[in-house]
Amino acid sequence: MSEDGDGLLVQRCLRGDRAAFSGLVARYEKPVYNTALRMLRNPEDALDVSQTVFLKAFEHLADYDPRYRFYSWIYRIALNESINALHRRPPLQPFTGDEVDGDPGPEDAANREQVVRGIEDALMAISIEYRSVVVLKHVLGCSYQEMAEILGLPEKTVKSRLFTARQLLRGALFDQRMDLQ
Amino acid sequence: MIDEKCRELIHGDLDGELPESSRAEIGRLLLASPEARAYSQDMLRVCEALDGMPEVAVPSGLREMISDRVALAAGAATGPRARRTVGMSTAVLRYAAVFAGGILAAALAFQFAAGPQAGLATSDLVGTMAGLERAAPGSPVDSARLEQDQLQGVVNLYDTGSTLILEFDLSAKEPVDVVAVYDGAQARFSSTADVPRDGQQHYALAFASRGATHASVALQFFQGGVLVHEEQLETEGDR
Repeated sequence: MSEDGDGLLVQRCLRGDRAAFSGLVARYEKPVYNTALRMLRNPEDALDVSQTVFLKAFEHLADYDPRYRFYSWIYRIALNESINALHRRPPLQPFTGDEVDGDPGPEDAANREQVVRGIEDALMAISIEYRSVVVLKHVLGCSYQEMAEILGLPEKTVKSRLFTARQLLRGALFDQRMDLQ
Repeated sequence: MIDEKCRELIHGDLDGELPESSRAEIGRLLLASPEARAYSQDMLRVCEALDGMPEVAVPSGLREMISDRVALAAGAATGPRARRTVGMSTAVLRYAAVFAGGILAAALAFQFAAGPQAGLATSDLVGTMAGLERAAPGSPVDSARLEQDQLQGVVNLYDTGSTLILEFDLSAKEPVDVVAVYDGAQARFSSTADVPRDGQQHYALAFASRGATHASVALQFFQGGVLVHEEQLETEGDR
C-alpha cells in the first residue's frame, strides 16, 4: 500500500470528499475482510465486521493520527472489531472455502482443503491473543514492528506471543494428526 | 528443549527478521543441535501452512454496503435534508443556474472517477443535447430544496425507467461544484459562467439506469472547495 496515497485520501476525506473514502475502502476491503474472516471463521460475521470497521474509520477519521501508518490504524480497528464480535457470539458455521480467490487446480484439491480446514480449526483452538498475532503475521504480512504498533504492545511481547502461537498451532495440528509435509 | 535465545533466532530466521550479525550464529546452532533442527523444521511447516492459507475474495456488494452505511452515517450526522452552512464571505458574483429545459451547456465540465467501481462511460450519459422535457416527462420522483444563504434552489430527480435525470434549479453567490454519485459512478461538474440571477441557462445531468431496483443518487455541493451541502435523492421502492 502507498502510505503517501493513504495520507492524501485521508486528507481529502477530511475535507468532505466522500469519493476519497471509497478509495480507502477499495484499498483495504480485502485485508480487512480476510482479517475478520480468519479471526471469526464465519463469512457473515466477517462481512458485518468489515462494514463496521469502515464505518468506524469514517466516523473517527478526524481522530486518526497521521504520524502513524493508516493501515496500522485500520488493521487495529479490524482486529478490535473482530474480537468484539467474538465476545458477542460464538462462531456459527465453518468457512466453506468456496469463495477462495483463484483456481487451485484439480490436483490435491481435497488434500489442500483438508489442510486449510485443519489450520482453521487449529486457529480457532488458540486464544484470541495468539490468534491475533498469527493473523497479523500470516494473513496481513506485518513485520514485528508493525504488529507491535498495531497491538500497542512492546515488540518483545509480540514476538513471544507469535512464537508461542506457532508452537500451540503445531500442537493443535499434531492433535488433529495433520501432516503438514 | 531449546532455550529462549535459540527459539528467537529460529523464528527470526523464518520471518526474515534476523539481523545479519546473527546469521552465522543460527547456522552454527542448527548444525550443532538436532533438537534445534527439528524445532526449526516443525516451525517452518507451520509457517508454510499458515502462509499457504488462501486469500479469500471479498463478497460482492461489500463496497456498496459500506458506501450505504457511510452515506447513512453522514446523513445522520447532518440530519435528513440538513443544511450544512459554512461561513462564506459575501460574494459580489451572482451565479444563477436554472436547470429545467434541456441543454447541457458548455459551462459544465465533467470528470469521471476512475476505478473498478466507478467507470461511468461517456455513453452512460444521455440527454447532453436532448430535450429534458422529452426525456423526463411527468413529476419528479424525489426533490430537494436548498435554502442556504449562499446556495438556494431545487434539485429534482426524474426516473424514466432507463434513465435517471437530475434537474437543477439553483441560484448561488459563488460558483458551485456539484458531485453526483450513482451506483458507484461519479460525475462532477462546475458552473463556471457568471449568469444573471434571472438567467435561463439550462443544464441537465443524466445517468443511464443500472438495474431495476431502488436507486439512490448522492449529491454534494462545493463552493470555494468547501462542502456546503449534501443531499440524497431516491426513487421509490423497486423500479
